[in-house]
Amino acid sequence: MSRRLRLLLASLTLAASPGLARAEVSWDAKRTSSPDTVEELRALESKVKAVTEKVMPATVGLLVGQGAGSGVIVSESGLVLTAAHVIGKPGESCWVVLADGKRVAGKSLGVNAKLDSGMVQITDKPPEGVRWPGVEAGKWPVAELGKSADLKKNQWVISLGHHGGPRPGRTPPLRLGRFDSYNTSDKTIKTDCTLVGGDSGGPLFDLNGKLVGIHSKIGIFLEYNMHVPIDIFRPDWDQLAEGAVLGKPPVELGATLDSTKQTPTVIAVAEKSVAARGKLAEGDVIVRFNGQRVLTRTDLKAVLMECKPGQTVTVVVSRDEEEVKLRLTFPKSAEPTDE
Amino acid sequence: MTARLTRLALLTATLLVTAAAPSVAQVSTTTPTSTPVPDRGKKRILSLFGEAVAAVNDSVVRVLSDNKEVALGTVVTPDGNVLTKGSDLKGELLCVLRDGTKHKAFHVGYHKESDLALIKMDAEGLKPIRFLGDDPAALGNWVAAVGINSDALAVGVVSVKARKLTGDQAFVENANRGVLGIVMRPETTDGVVIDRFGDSSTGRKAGLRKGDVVVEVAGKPVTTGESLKSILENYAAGDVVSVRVNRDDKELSFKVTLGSLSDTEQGAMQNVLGGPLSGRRTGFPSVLQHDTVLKPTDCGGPLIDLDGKVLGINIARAGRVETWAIPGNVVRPILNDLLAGKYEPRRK
Repeated sequence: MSRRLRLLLASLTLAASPGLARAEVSWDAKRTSSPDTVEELRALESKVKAVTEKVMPATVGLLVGQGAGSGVIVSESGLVLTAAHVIGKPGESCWVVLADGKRVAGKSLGVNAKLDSGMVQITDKPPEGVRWPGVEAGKWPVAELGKSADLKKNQWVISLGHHGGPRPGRTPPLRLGRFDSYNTSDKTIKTDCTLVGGDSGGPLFDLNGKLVGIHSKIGIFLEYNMHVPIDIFRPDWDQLAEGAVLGKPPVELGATLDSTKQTPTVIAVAEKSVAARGKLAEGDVIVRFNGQRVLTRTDLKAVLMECKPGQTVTVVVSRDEEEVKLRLTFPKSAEPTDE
Repeated sequence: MTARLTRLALLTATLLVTAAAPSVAQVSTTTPTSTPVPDRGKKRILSLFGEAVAAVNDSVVRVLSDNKEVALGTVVTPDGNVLTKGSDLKGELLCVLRDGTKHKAFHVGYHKESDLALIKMDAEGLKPIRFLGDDPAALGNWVAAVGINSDALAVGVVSVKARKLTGDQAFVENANRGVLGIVMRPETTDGVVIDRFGDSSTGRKAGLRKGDVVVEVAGKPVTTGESLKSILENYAAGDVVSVRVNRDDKELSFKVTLGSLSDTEQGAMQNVLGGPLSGRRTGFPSVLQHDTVLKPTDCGGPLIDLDGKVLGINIARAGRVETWAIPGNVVRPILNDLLAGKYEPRRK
């Protein structure tokens, strides 16, 4: 090869690889340690940005009745995964809010109230002016399902969700954090991606861009953020898609709560019910149930999930500015449930 | 205004998490956990920002108000003009530099919408920060909040690109103010008519009733809802104020221990889980949102990226999941106006 040609080749090679001065580092999505160098930090950043861009179109907000939550599209036909407590029950009309703020109609499908998993079906066609692969054929952008069982402690994950409810001009905010653990007793996974009201039902992704969780609840500390593991959706999948209600509480109070109030406020007590026998009255605000402080109707539902037929519980209610202690006993034989 | 927020699809509080949660008996809504728990995953990354921080932290000061840490400040001229968060400044101002020297400072001006205050200390040879004319902060970028230490205070990622605030976030208010826990009737004549009470209302506990017309609070006359709110802006939850009402042509007086917005509404309640929030946390012209965990008293300092570029000034710990900065290209014209003397200092 002539000298001139060799020089030309050499200069071309250098031009084609601008990163020659420092080694190009790529972030391994399965890595559980922190970045050790600035280069690794930048590599993690690149990965986070690429994954966020990829999964953003499938991330949605949900407006159901008076409530607001989030969800994620998992099929081209518009099947959306969310949290059970966002939708409540099947057949509810909802608005599905796309990442650019456009709204399309949807209807809630099934829920598993115990696991907090739920599904929604988008019923509209993609609107004008949106762009993603397959939109011309009426397809929705899809988040690929991952495996929550494969997550390792300290593996990096990202969370998206419409905290505070969907807002004009705001894409669902991104949070970066790490997977901590799987809680076997309530079947949730914990990460330190901070969540707050409105995030419920929104997606948790690994750094391969695969869906690994659905946001469910939080604790006092910033590190306590719990998600429904995606693996938990799988056994119920067909039933949820058909609108089944799974995981009903094992006991029933027999009291109707005011649905316009956050606090568990009794507006009716069924005759001969557990509530009636325990002397729960109209107007009572339930403050403690079975030793747990309950602030909201959702809190009460969750506590009821832990009760058993035959159990007697102490209940504290606020009645006319005073606190009253009651004892409620659940009957031994329970209704058959779809667990 | 906040109707939607009260019906947020909810994340239940820790009380109902079983084994995983630490043994805390009850969510305290009036005194949240004292400081936000630093995000342990990102703590190890603080040192990797070392070079970027070093380019900037000589231009940061700690601002004390009556000898209490209330904010950070960003040096903007070599002779000691400092930009900081204005709404928490009360009393005698002191700036502490990175080298430990202390300087008295006085108010120069206050830009209400951005909550940026310009204060001046007597100094020279300081290294000022210059703000960029563009906005390089992209979604997912690493960011760090800078204080006067060698390490960044906290790191995170850009959660949302710079945006305008809308709806209830576009209003200027002190969200940490004390409240009576009342919902007012829309028509106001000479006083505020109580329509009903919020959950856990301290006003109701103190003896106020539906239909009462609130005419005086803390010795100051109440005419409209706005006038009531602006009186209470200067009080915090836990403060006791006297409240005079008209009830059936009689004037009655009550002593009310003020509650907080987060007592009465679930969305607000959740937002304080994990740590205190800035009092002034809405109404800014534009915000860059990131998931860095910052104490309210560490607002006023710069937000930087991995290259050491100043992206803006941190202006509020706005929620459990969000800290906001005013983007640098928005700060720039406001700063020029403040330096030109266009704005008066904030009046108490």
